[in-house]
Parts: sequence; structure tokens; C-alpha cells
Amino acid sequence: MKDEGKISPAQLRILMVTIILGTTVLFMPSLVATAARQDSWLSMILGVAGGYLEAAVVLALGKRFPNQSMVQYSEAILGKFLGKILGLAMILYLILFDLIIVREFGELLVLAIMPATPITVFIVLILLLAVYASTAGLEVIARTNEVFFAPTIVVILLIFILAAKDFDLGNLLPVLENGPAPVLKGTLPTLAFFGEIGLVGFLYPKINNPGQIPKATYQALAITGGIMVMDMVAVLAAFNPESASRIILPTLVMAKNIRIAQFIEHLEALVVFIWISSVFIKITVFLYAAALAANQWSGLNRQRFLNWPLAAILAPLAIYFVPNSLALAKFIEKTSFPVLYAGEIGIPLLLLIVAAIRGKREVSGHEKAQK
Amino acid sequence: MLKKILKLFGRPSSPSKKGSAQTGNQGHNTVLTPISPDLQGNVLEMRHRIGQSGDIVFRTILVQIDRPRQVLLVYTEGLVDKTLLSTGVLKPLLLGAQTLRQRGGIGRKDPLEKIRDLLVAVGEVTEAATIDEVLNNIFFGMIALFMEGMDKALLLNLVLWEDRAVDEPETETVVRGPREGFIETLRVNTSLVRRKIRSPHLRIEFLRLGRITHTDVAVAYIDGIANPEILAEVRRRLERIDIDGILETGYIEEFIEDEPYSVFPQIFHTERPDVVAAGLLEGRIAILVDGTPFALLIPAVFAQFLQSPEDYYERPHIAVWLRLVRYGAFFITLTAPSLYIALTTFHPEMLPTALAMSVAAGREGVPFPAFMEALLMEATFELLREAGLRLPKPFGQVVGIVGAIVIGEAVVRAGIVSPAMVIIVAIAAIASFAIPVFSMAIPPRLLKFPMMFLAASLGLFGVMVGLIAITVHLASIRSFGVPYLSPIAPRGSMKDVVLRTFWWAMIRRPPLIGKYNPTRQRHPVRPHPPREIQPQEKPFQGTRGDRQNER
Repeated sequence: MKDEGKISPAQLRILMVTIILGTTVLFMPSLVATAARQDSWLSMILGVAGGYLEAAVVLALGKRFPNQSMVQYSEAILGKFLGKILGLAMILYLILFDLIIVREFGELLVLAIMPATPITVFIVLILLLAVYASTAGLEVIARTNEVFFAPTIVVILLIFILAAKDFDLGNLLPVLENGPAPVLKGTLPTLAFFGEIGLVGFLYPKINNPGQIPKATYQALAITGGIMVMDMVAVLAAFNPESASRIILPTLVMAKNIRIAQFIEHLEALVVFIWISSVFIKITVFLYAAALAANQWSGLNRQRFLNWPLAAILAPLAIYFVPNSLALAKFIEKTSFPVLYAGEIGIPLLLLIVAAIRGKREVSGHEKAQK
Repeated sequence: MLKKILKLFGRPSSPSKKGSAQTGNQGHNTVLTPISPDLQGNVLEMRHRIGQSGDIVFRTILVQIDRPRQVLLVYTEGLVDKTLLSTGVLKPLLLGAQTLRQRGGIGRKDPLEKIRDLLVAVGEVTEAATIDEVLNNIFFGMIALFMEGMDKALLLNLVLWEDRAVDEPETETVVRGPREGFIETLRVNTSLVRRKIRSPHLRIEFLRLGRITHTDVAVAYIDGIANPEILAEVRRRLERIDIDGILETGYIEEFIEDEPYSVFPQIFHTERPDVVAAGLLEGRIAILVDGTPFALLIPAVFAQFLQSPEDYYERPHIAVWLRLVRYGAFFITLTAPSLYIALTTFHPEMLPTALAMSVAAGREGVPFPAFMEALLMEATFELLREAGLRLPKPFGQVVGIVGAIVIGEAVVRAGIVSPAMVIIVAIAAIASFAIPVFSMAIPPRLLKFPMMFLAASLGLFGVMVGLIAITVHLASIRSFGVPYLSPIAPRGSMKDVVLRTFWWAMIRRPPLIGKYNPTRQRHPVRPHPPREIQPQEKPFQGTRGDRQNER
């Protein structure tokens, strides 16, 4: 009867789908289209492939240390001192990631529905909600996600279907006009987004039935990959590559353009409405992961409490770290991507290589000491 | 069942390890008074204990047994069957000597034993050794029989009190389905359940709660289906209760629920025996309390509150549709006013142009912002609802008419409130009545006010913040270990949530609640028209039942 606070692989699967889709559906198409033009959907497929590679690395680590998170086993692999430094880096990476999402969230709300409201209001409120859900535990977050998941997917698919009458698949031609270079360039931002699958490494010990985790993770990537490729194709077909790269939120504009029977219109409100819930889940899971990591790193055993200082750091940073949305876009592209690559792919890969060389695995006695 | 009550009666003062049944007796008198052989002493002691109460009857008669002895009968007026008292107790006692002579019982020693075995015509007779025991029992309708020279008393069970007839429950009416409802007497209620489930596995355990009221409480479950862990938890939580009185199951509900501060009901209540029986068959545990027609069902999940017993009696197609309507009703009650406020105040551009125009035209001349307008109307409606509810029926109609005229006509004509607002409030009100269980109509009715406030300050974002907060809250609560939102989240079998599949397809009990014994149908069969008999096929040999009958 006691709450263990663990989630099932099935819950993990849709949690990861929501996390990745939360920001990608709206923000990624134009980022990719800037570089890869009409071949953006190819970049998207490559990005998913990158996500699979990363998932494989994280899952291999998880298999070695089934009862520990990345922060915990980095000490076992690299030794106490280096491990602690790397652990801190991971916490900072999680905070930075959450920071970007929170700010993006606020920017979009100001842009899309409430231009007169200061961004502070959105950021503070969503962080309060996130702290509320995060202190309640991963199980509660996963269940909340289960409630919102079906409507989210339905709305996304509905938009594709209703917008389909404006599609011109000719926009996708010619394929590989300028060779593979633009496609690869376009893959870079997608890697950062699909790399979010690495979060599994932090949540690993909080999932029951570890044997099912790889399957759930790969399925999550397949679902998100499928939807994102569809989204990219839809955006390219609805606009042309030129305008797709110039519109900041092409998916939203696509929804806005839907007009049927003079009554079904302004579906972007519905998209924003449902999008708030996905991004809320995403912000909360990152906050939860950061609190979990900070708790394991510090050994304080105060995970619920740690949400508060983390949110208190996040709120002012999110409000002031860049002056406006243009600066945010620039920051994301120039500064954050390298950091995100390092956090998502660099750290797990490093850990896996060192672990493989030193032959580190979880020791059963050690396992109890960790708990 | 009565035996079980009597078992409790038999040992009300012994310090039992189980404790629950005895909590009521502790605290009054820790020193028990034994019955004295002197009748007058007993009378004085009892009169001293009960004070001036006039409903306790003391009746002394002279009975010829081994020698003429004084016999004292003590009982509570109105709780005993007076006909049986005179024909079954008084008459045999007064004619005692004659009967005894005829039946040759003179040789026996104990005169009380003689009375018990040879004289009184009463089904249940027990013995009591202390005044405390006697007093406890006469308030339950037992008759105490003292005899001069004896330090024991007999307790004769002739319990009979006024009952309401078993009637159709007013709060849970159905078009198709049984028309009986629980009444205020526990024994009748348990018999109603027993009549539906005639199995030795149906267990009805009794305990007594309330230090002063000594209220009988029954815990019913089906052994082998109910989860023993949850059952143990229910017992544990019931035993924790220490209060002077239990007058309704609502008291118990508040004592044993998981999240006392939540607006959402975490324990289901019903006054229908068929609902209790269905719950028991699903693996739930029922709590019935003497003095109220409402029974509790544990554990409860959110989806349960949007279901009606009729869903299971009528064809599934309509059940699915009605459930969709009810989920819609829940959502509308919660969000209709706040969505109106958000859309008219912050996002008029999101409405279809023609609609936005007519809403704006209606709002022209209205002196209040939409939020104040909505608050005013909602408050008026709450007033009307409360006023209409508590009044005698004829007055209630007047309130309805006044409300309709005042709200519907005058307020709009005077230009104080826009017509669209009246429609919204009316829809929200009707939607709240479409929620089948009243206790689940309360949360959206209360939560719509903070939702309106959020909508007025933050528009659609505010509405979404409210919805997310409510969802997180719902996801975080549990009812006796079962997540409140299951089987929606965590996902389980959805066959009986929004959907209600055919009975022949509901092969398993609801997940989590019925997991201890999940199989409902061992050999599920989908009905189909008779298959054509092929000429080569064996001739019909009768069903399994026929063959068994032949044997």
C-alpha cells in the first residue's frame, strides 16, 4: 500500500513523447527549415536516428547500473572527485535546459495569446505549478501526463488533417538540391531536441520493471519521430521552404489558417491551450530531474524541498537571462546547443566509454549503501 | 446476523484485544457493577444510572417457580415488540407454576435456567452478569429479566421498532432497475444486501462506534474478492475512530478518507442495495451504519462518480453516450463561466466573428466587467438554489418562478447582465445537475469560482493553469491505495470508464480494485444467432444443465 513513487515503462513511454513533442512541434520546424529547406524532413529523420544512438548509450549505462541515476554512477565510474564535478555539470545542464524551456514558454504565450501581459506572470505561475507537481512525485507527473496525452495527440493529428487541404507536396521538391550538406546542418538542432531522450538516464532508478525500459524508450522515439516528420512535411507543404524558415512558429500559423464552414477557426487557441499542458509536463519533469539529481549529488535527502530553491533560481534567471525573444533565439542557437550536445550526448558517451574500459558495474552491496 | 450482534452483546465489558467493538464502553465506568440478588438494589442502581428518563419501564411480577419469586422486567418503551412481550414472556411467566408442573421441570436447580429453557417463548436469550451490560442492551431493545435471589439477569431479544418502508431512493432514481433503497435500520439494510448476494462468502462484520451513541456499523465484503490488504486498512482506520457519536456515514467518511483537505469525494456513497452489491462483486468494501440509508463503498475512483447504476441495466450504447454527456457536464460546470470570461475579456478575436459580434452587442450597456457580471449571476443562482432546496415544495416552486423572472427577464431588460451570461450560467447550472452523484457535483460547483478568478486575471492561460492544478491534484490523491484517476491514469482497462462494454465482454473486474481476484467470467461467451445445423453434425444432446438433470 506504500507509495513507491515509481512509474511504469508504459508511463515512461508517453512521458518521453510529451517531453520531446512539448517544444519540438512548435519550435523545431522553422529552425530546421532555415538550414535544410525542402529537405528538412530528411534532417528530422537523421535527428531521430541520433536520438536512437543517444538512447542506446544511456540505456547501456542504465543496464550497467540499474538502480542508479546518471549522477550516482558517474561517481562510481570516474571516482569521487571527478564524478562530483561531472554530477554538478549535469545538474547545471538540467537547470539550463529547464531555463530555456520556461523562457520559450513565456515568450510564446506573450507572442501568441496575451501580448499585453508581462512574461514574469507566466514564468512564475508555471514554475509554481511545476513545483507543486514535482513535489508530489514522478508518479503524479506521469499520471497527469496520461490525462493530457490523448487530447494532445488528438489535437495535433486534427490540425494535420484539417490543414491538409492547403498542402502542396510539390514544395518538397527537389530532393537534395544542394547535396547532403544542408541536410546535415539542419540535423544539428534536431539532435538537441531528440537528445532529450537522455533524460531517461536520470529517471532510470524511478522506473519499475527495468527490462521493459529500452523498448519503451525506443517506442517513444519512434512515435515522436513519426509525428515530427509528419509535422515537418505538413509545414513544408502548407507554406514553402522559404516562408517556413521565416515564420517562427509555423505549426501554430498552420492551425491559425484553418477555416472551415465559417465557424471552425482560430484553432491556434486550441493548440496553445493543449500545448500549455505539454510544456508544463516538460518543465516539471526537468525540474523533477534536477531536484532528484541535486538530491543524489548532495546526499541531503531533501528532494521535495530542493524543488523550491531550484524554482527560485530558475524564475529570475528565466526572466532576465536574455532581454527579448530575438536574443533568446540567438542564445539557443549559438550558446545553448553546444552545451546541450555536451550534456545530452557528451557526458553519457564519456561515462559509457570509461565504464567499459574500467569494467565498472553496479555492485550489489554498494547498491544498498546508495539507497 | 443477529447472532453476531448478540455475540457482541455477550461480551461488551470484557477487555477485548480487538478493541473496536468496545471503544464505546470505555471511559464511562471502568468499575463494573455486578447484579445483586436483591431486586430493589438493582432497581435503585439502575434508576441512579438512568436518572429521570421516563422511557425505561420497570415491571415487577410474581412468578411461581420453586417458590414464589419476584421477577423484574426492564425494557425501553418503543423498542420492544409489545404483543410478543405479553404473549411470549408475561403470560408464560404468570402461568409459570402450571406449565412447569406439566413439563416436569421442578427438579432442576437454577430457576433462571428454568425460565430460559421451559417458559419464555423468545428466540434469542442470553445472560448478563453486570448492571452495565444490562443497561447497554436495553437501549438496543432487549428486555432484561431479573429475579430475586439471583446474581444474573436474562436478556430477551424482542427488538422491534418503527421503520420506514423500503422505498425507492429519491437521490438515485433510475428508469430501469430495482426500485428499493436502504432505510434507517441497519438490519434491514444488511438483509437487502444479503438478498442480492446469497453466498457464504459475503461477510458482514459488525462493530460499534461512538462513545455515547453506540452506533452499529457493518463492514461488508465478499471473501475471496475483496483485497485483504485494503480490508485490513479499512478495519484499522475504523478502529482509530474515537468520537462521541456517529449519526451518518458522512462522519465515518471524513474519518477514514485519504486526503481530508481535498474537495473531491474519495469514498463513494449510495442508498441503493444493487449499487452496493455491484461494488462488492467488483471487490469493493461496503460500510453501512445504523440510522442512515447511505452506505459507503471503498475504494472509490473518480470515474465511478460519473456512472449511474442504470448504465449497467440499459444497453451499452446509451450508457456510453450518457457517460460522455456526464463528462461533458462535469467539464461545463467547471469551466463554462471562466471560459466565457476569458474569451470575452481577453480573446474576443478567438470567437467566430458573427458570434463575437452578437456577444458584444449583448454586452453593450452592461455596467460591469464580465467577471463581476458572472460572479453576480453565479451568486444569485447559488442563492436561488439554496432557497429552493430547503423550502417546502410549494414554496420551492415560487422561488423557481421568481428566480426565472428575476434572472431571465428583469436583469437582462434592466441591462445589468448580458443575455449571453444568463445562458452561460444556466448551462453551467443544468450541467451540474447532470452529474449523477451529488457529492461529485460539489467540487466543480466550488472550483468554478477560483477558475473564474483565474480567467478574469489571466485569460485562457489562467483557465489552463486551473485545469492543470486540478488534474495534478486528482492525480496525486488515492483512495485506500488506489490512485483516484485510475484507470485513466495510471492506464488500466478502459472497458468500464467512459466506455461501458457489453457485459459479456467485461471478463475481468475493474483493475486495481478487483486485482485480488480479477476474473469475473470464467467462460465468456459472446451471444450469437443459432448456427445452422449441418446434416452430418451430431443431433442436439441438450445443454450441460440438461444432462446434469438427467443424471
